[in-house]
Amino acid sequence: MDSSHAGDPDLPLLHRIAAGDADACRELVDRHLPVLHATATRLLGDAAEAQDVCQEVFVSAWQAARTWQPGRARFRTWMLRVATNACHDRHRRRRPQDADALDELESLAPDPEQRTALVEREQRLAAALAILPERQRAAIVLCHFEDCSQAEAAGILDISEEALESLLARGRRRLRELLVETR
Amino acid sequence: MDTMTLQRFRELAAAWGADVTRWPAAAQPGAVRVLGGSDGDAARRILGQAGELDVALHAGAPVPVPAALRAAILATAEEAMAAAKATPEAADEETLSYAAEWFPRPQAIAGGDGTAPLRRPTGAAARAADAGGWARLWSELGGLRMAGPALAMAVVLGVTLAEVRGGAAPDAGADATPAVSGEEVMDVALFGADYEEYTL
Repeated sequence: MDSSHAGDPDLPLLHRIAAGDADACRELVDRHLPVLHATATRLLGDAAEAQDVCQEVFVSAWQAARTWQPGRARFRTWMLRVATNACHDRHRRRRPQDADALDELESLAPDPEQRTALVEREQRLAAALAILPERQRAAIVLCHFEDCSQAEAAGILDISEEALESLLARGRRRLRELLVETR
Repeated sequence: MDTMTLQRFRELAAAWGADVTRWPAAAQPGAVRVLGGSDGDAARRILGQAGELDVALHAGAPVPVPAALRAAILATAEEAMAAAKATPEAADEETLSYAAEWFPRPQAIAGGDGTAPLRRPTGAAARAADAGGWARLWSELGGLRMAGPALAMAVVLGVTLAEVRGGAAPDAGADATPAVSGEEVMDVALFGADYEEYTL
């Protein structure tokens, strides 16, 4: 899927990590943790669970660095795929909460005395994202929040680029109903 | 050169939003042509509608990384590295890297960068490596400086051991070992009950 793995900028770091270089671990964390954390937070809508996912992904990364095979996928693609799969597993275990998210969105009526407009918009966005079907949410988070390319996002989600476009279109249409047309 | 229809333009905007520069690279030239062509006004209306959702999406604030999370992840890195060192595979690597001190890598002998897998040198390279290793061992043990004291210690140790064993050497012709019968040997070998050392 992801044909852009040539010249993976993380490859030298992975080699250093495999050799036991702690500085390389710090560099890899600083390079990728912000995107990983934001993605997991937006996919799960739960800060504590997102942090658990980040730790799981990096624990897998330290293991993977020892046997990393260049050319199969870029590290960033691999990392985000592991993260979205981990988020998917957690969603499966707590699916009934989706109803709570819809209730929360409906209850977030503008209230200037209690919330600023910015905070209210953020909360409405988070609640609307939580309502989306999981794959649509993942496509929107990767492409609209984390600026993944079409090829990279399709690789992370393990789908074709056409399927990604379909997920994005359906996800945006649903978000539009939730955010734009009901405000 | 493919011509993009207004319908295709609408589908792309529905998926990727109003910013054409974020659309798939292959679609961007066609999108620009649509915007500059006879369907330009309709295309701009489509982008305007898509832009409303983009504004709503970008209202989300950045998600800052908690410092404690970063620290916890780096702690897992240290644990993983410690665990890797504790595995037999890692121990072998450690042994090999120590051995490489005494028997340098072929690349090092040839002036390479030493990044290739470790291989035992052969032929002249092996002899050179062995000579270098023994010379370094001799140097680390103290070289000639320690030869005199080591010889003196060996003499003192030998004399002391001789004293402990009973002073003078046994008389010539005397039997230094007690006579043991074949039956006793069998008792010992078979842990026979008659041999008192093995009897409870």
